[in-house]
Amino acid sequence: MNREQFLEELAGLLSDISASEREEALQYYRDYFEDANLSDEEVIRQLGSAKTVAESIRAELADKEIALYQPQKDDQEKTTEKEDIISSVEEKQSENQGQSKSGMSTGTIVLIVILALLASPVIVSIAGGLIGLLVGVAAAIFGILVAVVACAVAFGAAAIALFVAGLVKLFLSPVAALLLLGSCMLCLGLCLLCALATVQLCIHVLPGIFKGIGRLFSKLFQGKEKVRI
Amino acid sequence: MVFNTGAALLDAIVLAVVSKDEEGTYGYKITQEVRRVIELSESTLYPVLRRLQKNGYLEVYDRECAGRNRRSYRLTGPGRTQLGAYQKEWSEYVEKINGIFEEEEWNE
Repeated sequence: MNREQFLEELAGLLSDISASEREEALQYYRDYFEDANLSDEEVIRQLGSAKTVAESIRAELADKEIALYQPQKDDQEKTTEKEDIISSVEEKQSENQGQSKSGMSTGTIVLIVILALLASPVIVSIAGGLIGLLVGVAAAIFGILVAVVACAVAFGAAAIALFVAGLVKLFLSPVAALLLLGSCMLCLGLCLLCALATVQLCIHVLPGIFKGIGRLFSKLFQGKEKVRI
Repeated sequence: MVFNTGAALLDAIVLAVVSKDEEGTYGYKITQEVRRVIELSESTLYPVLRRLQKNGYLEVYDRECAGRNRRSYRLTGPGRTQLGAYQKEWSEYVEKINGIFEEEEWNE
């Protein structure tokens, strides 16, 4: 391979960059062959392939660091006045770092969004099921309470009715009156029992349920806030 | 060499090499001069020169030489300022490193 072939191959590899950049590079390497005072083969051997040369030119145009460069950690520690002078190099390095970081985070965000979208039917149905179960349990307890209150009222009413009936029967049929009054006492006892159960339910069970629901909602709310932050 | 040459140091070396010739110097010669002090492949230098040129530290001009126009590089005003800044930074750096090395010798 001689220099013409090398330069031709290089021009071909750089066909997609701007004409002025390409001409600049070709002029440089034309001069390079001319000034080297070596055989074309020797110069090409030193330069490596036209591909390597084209890649190095392309890397500079893409504003990337060439493979030889190592990112310098202590650049960030420089004082501001020094930064003014040596800004050009650091700007490039920080831009490169910024690009790679933002690229990664965008990818992560996209993945999280996709995961959330795919999982949303499952999450929504499970959450709905749990809320439904909770509402059901609360309604059942409330129902029991209402039933107990209703029993107390019914037994109380029955006791009063039996007492009145017993008093009326007392003079006509004392035996029937005793049965009625006995039934009255039984109803009164059951009424008191139900009243006691209502009081106990209101004191111990209901506050516990309300506290539990309150805690659950506050946890859900805090969880959402954390996600927002 | 075991130590890496960073982008800034390579820029500084290239600016220093170019500044040696008041008349300006050319690509092949700059490459050979830089290769005397650090290991780098021949194809690395063109992108560096091009970048320094774009940053306004180097300027390119055609110089008549042996019946043809040879592309030559020389320092601009900002290039000279930048080289001065690099040299100051480098001497501070070397002083600090040497300080640590010499301290160790004292302790031994």
